[in-house]
Amino acid sequence: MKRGFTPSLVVSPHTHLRLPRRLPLPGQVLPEKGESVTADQVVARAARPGRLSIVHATSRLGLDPADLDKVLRVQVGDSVEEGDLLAEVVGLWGLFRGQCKSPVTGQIEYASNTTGHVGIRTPPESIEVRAFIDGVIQERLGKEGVIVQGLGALIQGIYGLGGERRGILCLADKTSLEEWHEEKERILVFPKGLDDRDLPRLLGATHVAALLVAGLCSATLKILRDPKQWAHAVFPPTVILTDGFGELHMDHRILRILEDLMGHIASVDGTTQIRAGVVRPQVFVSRPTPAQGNERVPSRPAGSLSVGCKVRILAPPDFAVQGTVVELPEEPRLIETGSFVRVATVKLDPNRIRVVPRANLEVLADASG
Amino acid sequence: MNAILATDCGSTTTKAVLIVRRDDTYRLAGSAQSPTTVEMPYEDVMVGIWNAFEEAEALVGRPLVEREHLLRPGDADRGVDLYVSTSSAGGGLQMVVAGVVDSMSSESAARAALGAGAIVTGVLSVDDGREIYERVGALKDWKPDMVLLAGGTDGGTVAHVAGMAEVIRAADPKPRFGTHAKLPVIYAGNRAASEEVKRILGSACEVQTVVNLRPILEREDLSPAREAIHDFFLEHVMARAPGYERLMEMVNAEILPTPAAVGHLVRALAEKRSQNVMAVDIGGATTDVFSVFQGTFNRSVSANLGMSYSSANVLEEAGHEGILRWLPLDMEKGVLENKIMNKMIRPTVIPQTMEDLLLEQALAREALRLSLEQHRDLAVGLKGIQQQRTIGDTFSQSRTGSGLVDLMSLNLLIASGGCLSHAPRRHQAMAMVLDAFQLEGITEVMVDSVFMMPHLGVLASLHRDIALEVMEKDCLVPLGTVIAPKGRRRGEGWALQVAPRGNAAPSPFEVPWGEILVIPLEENRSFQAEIHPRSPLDLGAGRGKPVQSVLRGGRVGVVFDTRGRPLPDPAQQGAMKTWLERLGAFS
Repeated sequence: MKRGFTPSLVVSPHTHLRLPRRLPLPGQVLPEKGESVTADQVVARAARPGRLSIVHATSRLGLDPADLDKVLRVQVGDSVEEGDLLAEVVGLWGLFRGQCKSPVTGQIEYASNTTGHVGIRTPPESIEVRAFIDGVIQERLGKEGVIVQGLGALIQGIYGLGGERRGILCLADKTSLEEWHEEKERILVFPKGLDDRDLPRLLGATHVAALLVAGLCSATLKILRDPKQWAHAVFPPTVILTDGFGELHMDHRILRILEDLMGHIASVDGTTQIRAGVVRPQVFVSRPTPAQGNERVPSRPAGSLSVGCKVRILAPPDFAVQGTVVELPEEPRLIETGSFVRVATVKLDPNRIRVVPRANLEVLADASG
Repeated sequence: MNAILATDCGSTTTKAVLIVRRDDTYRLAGSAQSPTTVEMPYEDVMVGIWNAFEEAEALVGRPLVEREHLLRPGDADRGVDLYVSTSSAGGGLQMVVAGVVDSMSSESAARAALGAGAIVTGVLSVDDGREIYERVGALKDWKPDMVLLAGGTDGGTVAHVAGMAEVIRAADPKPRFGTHAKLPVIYAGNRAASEEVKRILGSACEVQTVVNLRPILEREDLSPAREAIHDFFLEHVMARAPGYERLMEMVNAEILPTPAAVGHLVRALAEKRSQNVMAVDIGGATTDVFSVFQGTFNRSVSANLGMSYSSANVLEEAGHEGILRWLPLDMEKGVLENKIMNKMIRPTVIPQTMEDLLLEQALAREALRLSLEQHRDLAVGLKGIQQQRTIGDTFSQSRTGSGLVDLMSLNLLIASGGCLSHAPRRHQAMAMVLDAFQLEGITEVMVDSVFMMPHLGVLASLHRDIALEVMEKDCLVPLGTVIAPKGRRRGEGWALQVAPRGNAAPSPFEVPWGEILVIPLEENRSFQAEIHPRSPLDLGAGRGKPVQSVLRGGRVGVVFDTRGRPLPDPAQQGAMKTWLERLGAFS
């Protein structure tokens, strides 16, 4: 039976999130299946082999690579500290010495008479992966990691920059950007967008872990992601756009969920991949029991396009406007550009009707929801 | 053979085409598509393939599948006799090439990789100006599926290429599919260094040695490296991708990387027509250019030039002015930027307003222009070779590594990709390639109407005649012939005098300087003409020298373009609107 594949973003006040937490290489997985974990808890650990640092020893000493053996002062397997002697040339009567020292601490892995290079492997580095959300270990992935299942509010954005951050959700309109007395990181929500007047105040603010905004101009986004622009941040905050580029107002469904969660700690991940395995940025707030009126809904995107379903328009002239599908004509229709495409007739608020290419619609909820 | 089924498993879409024999000719019966399912949540390419088959069954009304098995062999009404496939799922075959000298071994290695259908995500060479740690860092970042290492002539210095092997070992990149697998490395350099390279890389990588691709400076032998890339692609990349084991059992010919299949077809067509042929395929993420000039095949892939995923890169490379100059309307830079970024994050959205359509086509012109520039850089003769010269050559000698792309001698241009194949009017596709490529001389232009060049390319590896027959009858749509003199002239007056011959031919006429003139002429119709360019304009025979040619019609007709080459900047003249009107792009 033919399956439907309708791309849309998850926006849910209460849902399950299955979050894979993987090491970049095999290691030790700590919790057992069924165990409860907190967001900050380490769930997997590995020792990453150190990097191989290559020193062009004979070139530094002005020798032919074949002469490396004669001047080498270390052996393969030796441990060296940064600054230790690797090779040395002693000139006439011992007066002129040429030395090549190790740029790193590590172990000699090889010395090649063909290239004149000495390879030094730095000590292994420990890598830890944390649960990132509160939840239960649903699955252990061999030596690679775990899948944590959490329950709470989940909002996927359309585009993000920056990695995983956690912080307290704050409505930027109601929170002073300058005065923040807590030591905890905060995640600022801008429901009406971010204009140039907000920017200097924002860039001077402290403890900003992430920004959630409906839309931004790409020039503003570049400023926000530049660490030099921030007065108090070493790493620029993660930025998530819920709707797209331009001056846009936040979708009221998203805003309603976020307003309800102000003051809660959120896990935010700006990772976005548009091609070959789509990954959208997301915000998750653990919430074992739903807020009143917010029954649990599955964490899958809404269903396929059908009459009665709620949609959002993804292209001008009605970009980001929401409506309800009232008709799905079978035959392709002529649109302004001169193309014949399959369309949907969408009723917008208040009572405007638009004919929109189906490719330009995002399903928000099916006819039943 | 009654029916042939072919699929192309792209990054986003899996497309199936069904070819059926009718009265001893093979024709396209129908095509269907479905989202590719290599990635999560499906992680099985076969889900998308079965889905596309079922869609094709429904559209064509011919049963093809029974309980997840193809009905084979087929008969007049059901099933298929042959099934072939290409693949670029998961972003295609991504390779890094490494060599000793950038303009010699690395360049040859890049040509080998590109010709085998790979996307070259990075190039390393001893003279690339990077420190060793920077090369190691770059290679880690690129995360290739495979590395092609070349360098040195046979019997030459071993140290440089061995040093590059050490860089690969230090980076220790892991293949994308199969976390515990070793990275495939093809060594195609100095024969004398092969044991040393194996010693360095042996424990960390899966090394295969093939014949040196530059055994001597004056010779380039790319075939063994290309064959090894193809074998590694099947064994190490395809076999590990989710669901491909089943796909590899089902096909009747080896799966080809999508661009390699298109390359096969372009070469076959150039050979059949004994012509210089160029094809361009502009996609969402990349733009491929294929060319055959004087029998030499070249392919380039511009990995960061495309209409959706890579649209922001096109803006970055072309600049705001570069794109805005092709727009016949005013648009603020900020608006332009936001529109392009929105296209990047929502790649499947189509232009809904005339403004957005014009912007898409302006962006396409720049992506095509930049891709051709990159193709010209790659499609060159061998560099660094000695040439025998006499004193008489002193003032006319050509440099080594001179370009092979000569638009004046190009006979046929094939345009493919959503914005070209699905332009609301064929005239718009003609306008885009005319502006972007600045065609010179006399060139036929066609568009790939159904995106089936990959399918026909892999079919050509088994049944070349059938593939070419379907290509000419069902795949390519002739737009017409372009006549565009090279050079510029001052003042007004005529630029071309055209003297058509034959019964159906129009009366003699002149084409003024600085114009676009379209003579409507249907597909399958043509006329002979003598065309006299006014000096210093040149149509290939020399300045002011007349040429004789057959001018073939198409959906647009015969297009005389006397705007001059290089094309004047449309922004300076406010000319874009006039040019589009003359070409009938929006009428």
